[in-house]
Amino acid sequence: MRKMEDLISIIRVKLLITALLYTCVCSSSVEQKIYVELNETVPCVRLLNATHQIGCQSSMSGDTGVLHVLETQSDLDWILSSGPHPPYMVIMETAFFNRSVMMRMKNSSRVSGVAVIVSKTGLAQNFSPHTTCPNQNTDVYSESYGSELANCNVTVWNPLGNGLSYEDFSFPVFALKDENQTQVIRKCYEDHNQRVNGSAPHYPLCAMQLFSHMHAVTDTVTCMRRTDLQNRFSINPEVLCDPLSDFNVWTSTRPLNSSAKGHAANESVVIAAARLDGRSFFWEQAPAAEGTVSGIITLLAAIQALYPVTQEAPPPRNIFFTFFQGEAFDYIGSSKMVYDMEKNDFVIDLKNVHSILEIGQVGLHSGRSLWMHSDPVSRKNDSVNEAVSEMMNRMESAAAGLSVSVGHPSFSQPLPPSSLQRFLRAGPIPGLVLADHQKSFSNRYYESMYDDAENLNVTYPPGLTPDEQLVYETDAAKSLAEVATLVARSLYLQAGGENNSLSNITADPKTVAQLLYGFLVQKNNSWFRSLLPPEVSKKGVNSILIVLVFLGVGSGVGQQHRRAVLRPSVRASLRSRLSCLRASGVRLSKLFHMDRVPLEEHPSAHLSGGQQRTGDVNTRGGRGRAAAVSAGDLLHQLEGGASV
Amino acid sequence: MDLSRVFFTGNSTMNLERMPNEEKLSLCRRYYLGGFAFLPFLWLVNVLWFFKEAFLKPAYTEQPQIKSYIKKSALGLILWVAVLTTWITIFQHFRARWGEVGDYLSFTIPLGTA
Repeated sequence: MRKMEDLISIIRVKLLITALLYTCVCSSSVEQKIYVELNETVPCVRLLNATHQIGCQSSMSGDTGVLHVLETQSDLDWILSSGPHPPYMVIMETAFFNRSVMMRMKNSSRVSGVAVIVSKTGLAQNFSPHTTCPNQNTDVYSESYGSELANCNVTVWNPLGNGLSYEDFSFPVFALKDENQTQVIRKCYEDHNQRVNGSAPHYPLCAMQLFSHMHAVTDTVTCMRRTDLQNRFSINPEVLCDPLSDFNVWTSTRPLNSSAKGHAANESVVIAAARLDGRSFFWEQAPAAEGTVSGIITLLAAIQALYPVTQEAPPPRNIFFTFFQGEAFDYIGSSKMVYDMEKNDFVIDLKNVHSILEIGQVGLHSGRSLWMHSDPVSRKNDSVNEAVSEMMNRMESAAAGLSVSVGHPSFSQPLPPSSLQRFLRAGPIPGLVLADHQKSFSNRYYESMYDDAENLNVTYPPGLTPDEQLVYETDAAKSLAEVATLVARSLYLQAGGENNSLSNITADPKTVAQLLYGFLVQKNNSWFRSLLPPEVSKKGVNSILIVLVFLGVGSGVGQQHRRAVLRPSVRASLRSRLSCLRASGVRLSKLFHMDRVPLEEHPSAHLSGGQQRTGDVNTRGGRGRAAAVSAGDLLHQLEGGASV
Repeated sequence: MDLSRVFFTGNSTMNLERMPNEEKLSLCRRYYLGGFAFLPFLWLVNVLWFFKEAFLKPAYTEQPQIKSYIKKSALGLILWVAVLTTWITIFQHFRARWGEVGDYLSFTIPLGTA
């Protein structure tokens, strides 16, 4: 009897272990039968600044709702008032993604989330989720400086802006980028959720779950305080938010000793500046073609054009090229540089600065003229006015012989939002902002995900292979090359160079075409691969913004400007009661990873995606900002003129 | 203090049947006094345990004293409940609004909501 009992208990134990193993291994199969994961989704995340929070938030375990596709006005009424199965998860057609609809959703309690279909069909003529007056609180115009010009009283720079990016939504908003997955969702909706003859559909219904829980809340002050408390008192500290930090990039025609700080003796520099960043409503989906890339490419091509002449006939003054990161969020990069200059913590200081030429949005001038914007308040001072007028004259003479012309807007018009404004806050410095718009922006998709290659008219004839597209010179490339030539020549003249060397300075349209292709269409191309270290160019996503390396100077942008922070990770899931729809995108959202490598080694800083939700702080995902171009390499390449 | 009496009263139910009255009184007193050490649950236990003894049994010599202890324990208990309920309500409602003070008073702070 004893042995029999032992035998039975041993068998029972074995059965139990096998059963457990089986469930552990095969438990996910049930999940797969219920949910369909959606991969190509992008969330809207929460951002904080010193006083407010903006963006979107979902519940801790995701928000679920009954699917409804918003195609017509009656759908909107169904969702907001008459539908019997609230809360609804709205699949929004592109045409309905505007301020009035979104604000109605925000104020309704029947909406548990929105998924926007991203497509060009049905796209409105203009869509700019930014505000009408970008960075109005941190520019130079205030009560004490040009008060009549402050807050866009004179010129509204972005009149088409609807301010959606700066609203605080309490439900998740995702962008659906994959057409096939959108079809799957639609099919589920049509099979189960659609109204038949005006009567409500019956259960079971198709549903969707969106998950993008944000840890950060209220404002930066609160977040930093709570992070501090977590780090001090918690055994396993939670990450609540990440700073918006990254690097500026600079270089100069005559070398500057990067370790020497403060005033540089006998140096008078002309600063040539452009911004490096862009943003949109959704996280890391900002091609910023006209808004940012046009300026970057122009400046890079100008650097390449200037290189030979600065070797043969160097101008008396130094030309200091700089690319500012984070300008969308109250001028993070430029204010940091000005701050460092004032504190004598930078290679040059404000007394070294002779003048500033900033390249704003220059991509859409298409045969019309470019405009040189200046600041009327500082020009009330005679010496500054004279310097600015001289700068304009030099620019006009540099434009002679080119197909692009320059003009200046009326004297009393203020500066557009630009990094120059932060320099003016520190003191009256003669400066110009070159832009393709006279009054308001020509960019109809400013700071939105639709500001892409098509917005810049970068289109390739059909039937070209990627390598052929890489070197194909579109009209946009040619016109940007003209602008770059203009910029390079003006800079040379401004730096005191001679008129007769001007004809040798021309920007190469092929370089511009390659840069356009690389930044706007496909960053994983043969040219970038030849320039960059391999792990950088492999990052998947096909979008925007570059990371250029901070050459040399140690302090990252992050130190001063942690005021706007956001929080990690995001996951979207779509669930239905009948069939399996579940979206899960583990979003990497630690915004910037600082990779400070000494200049002697290979300089490459990645703007890599980020951080897994599991709390592994050191993971560099790479999903987010794909394009990472090492400026050291690129500039070296452009200056050296090697095999471009 | 005779802990063996306080904690080990025999079987699982709180059986006061076989206890002599003096012991009941001393037990009641101990619980009453113990509650002053910021232990309102002792008063709660006291009230629940000795309620029948104090009010529902026929009178015996120690009963009036037990009654007074029970009444005082009940009073202290109601006071504690009022104070705690008020504080908890105020804290839960206003913690987010207090900002810094609220954070320093909290043990765990919820993520993502104020």
